[in-house]
Amino acid sequence: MTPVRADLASDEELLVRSSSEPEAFGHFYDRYERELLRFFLRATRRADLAADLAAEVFAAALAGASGFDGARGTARGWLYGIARHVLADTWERGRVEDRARRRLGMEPIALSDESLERIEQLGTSGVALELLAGLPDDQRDAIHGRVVEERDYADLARSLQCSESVVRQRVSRGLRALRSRMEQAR
Amino acid sequence: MNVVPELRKSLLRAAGRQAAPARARPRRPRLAGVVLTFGAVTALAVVGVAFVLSGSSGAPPASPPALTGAPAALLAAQRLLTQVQLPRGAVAVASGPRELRSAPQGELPSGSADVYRFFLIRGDPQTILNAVQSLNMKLEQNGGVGIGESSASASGSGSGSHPIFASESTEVSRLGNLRRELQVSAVPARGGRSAVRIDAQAYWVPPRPADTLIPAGIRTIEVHVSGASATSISHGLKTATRLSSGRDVALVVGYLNALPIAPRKPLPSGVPCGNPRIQITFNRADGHPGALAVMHPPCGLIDVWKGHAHTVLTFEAPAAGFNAGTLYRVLVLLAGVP
Repeated sequence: MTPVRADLASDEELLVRSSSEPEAFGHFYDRYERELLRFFLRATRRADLAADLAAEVFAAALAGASGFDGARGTARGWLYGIARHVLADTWERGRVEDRARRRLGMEPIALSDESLERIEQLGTSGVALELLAGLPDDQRDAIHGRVVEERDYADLARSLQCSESVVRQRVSRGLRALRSRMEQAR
Repeated sequence: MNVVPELRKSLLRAAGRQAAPARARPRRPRLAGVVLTFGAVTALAVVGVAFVLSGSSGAPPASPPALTGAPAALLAAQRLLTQVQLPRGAVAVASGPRELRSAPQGELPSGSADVYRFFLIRGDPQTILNAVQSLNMKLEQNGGVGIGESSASASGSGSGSHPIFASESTEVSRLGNLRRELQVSAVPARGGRSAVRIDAQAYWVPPRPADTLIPAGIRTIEVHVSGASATSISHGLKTATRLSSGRDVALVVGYLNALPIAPRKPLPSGVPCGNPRIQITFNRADGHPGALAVMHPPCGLIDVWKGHAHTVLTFEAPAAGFNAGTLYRVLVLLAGVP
């Protein structure tokens, strides 16, 4: 049987394949990199710490990928389980553990300024998403579909069961409200 | 475009290193464990350069079995033993020295299983214990070994800095109704090596009937400690406490609801539990008590009343696990024990 292309494979499948196909883990990393960095950035408010924590979590996930059992939960839940433990450990010990990375023989990573900047930007979009949650449902759905999912207006109009002009109006009003909230938040 | 491409690159290199030996490694027959609680003692000797996880040796991950009781415990213990990682160069041997041949904890409760193997590993006992703990890092879900809390003991040789016997019991993440522990014991052997015994233990904790659980919707907890000595009080033991933070309440309720019912073994007659006693009242939002518990630290028992229903729980190892950290946090909350 031909294996499913890595970019189309499920998270669970990627983890199972990681032990023999390094690139499968690369795809897994791509799927969760932003989400996990944002998670740690919110918790620590420091880009360098967020990167350090994410590195340890991905290393632990790589080390444990062969023992992953999809019957017991999703890969996302499993990854966040590791993330919460690493974070709790960090609070408890006052430093980020690097056991998983050492075990895999990973060298410490020197983060480039560009990477740090990109992590910080994730924090900004995180605030925007939080503000998005405070908008009326119809505006939030329209903005989420248009800005976050990058769907076109016709597609959105079909799924939201209204005309294109109504979707445009909701997006425009919502973004205006969001902009004003962000200004207040600064 | 990745946010941290340098991390992706580093992980892929590590994944490549990890994949290479896994591909090159010949598949080896899996070792059968030794079951103590059922009296069947079998040991197989295998000489190897490394102890590998079942996953990386090509064994398919099995789904959680629909077994209960002792058979489930046996299967869980066997699986745990295959997941343990040992330092490079660990050599499996048929048997170990006399000091390691008896079960580390004596008789185990019913519904439990202990599966073990012997190894020779380079290093002194304490270093090996540390290495095993470090290798079996926290991965608390999905079959990861997931070391939680541990208790260790060591006896000194009197002549050197290395202990002659070191043992560590570590609680591994719980798997449904199965509580799992890893016990590592080591004594020095010849040639700078130590003889090591690894026990994987699993205990079947029967599900608690719903009517024995502290109900949901508890908002506050009132605590009264009686029988405490003046010395304890002068050391910070509180005799009356009220918990109202949701987090604190959840911790105490969660802890009690996770404890097993005490084995139906009557306490030796005429031996009182002694003092102090910690009375815990669980109040609902309307201020009425939803349950009442009395904790007897000297006996490791907790009486719980819900209406007229009475249950006795135990918080003593091994029945309740080695969750000393959680017990400590709960005791600090309840009585401010320093």
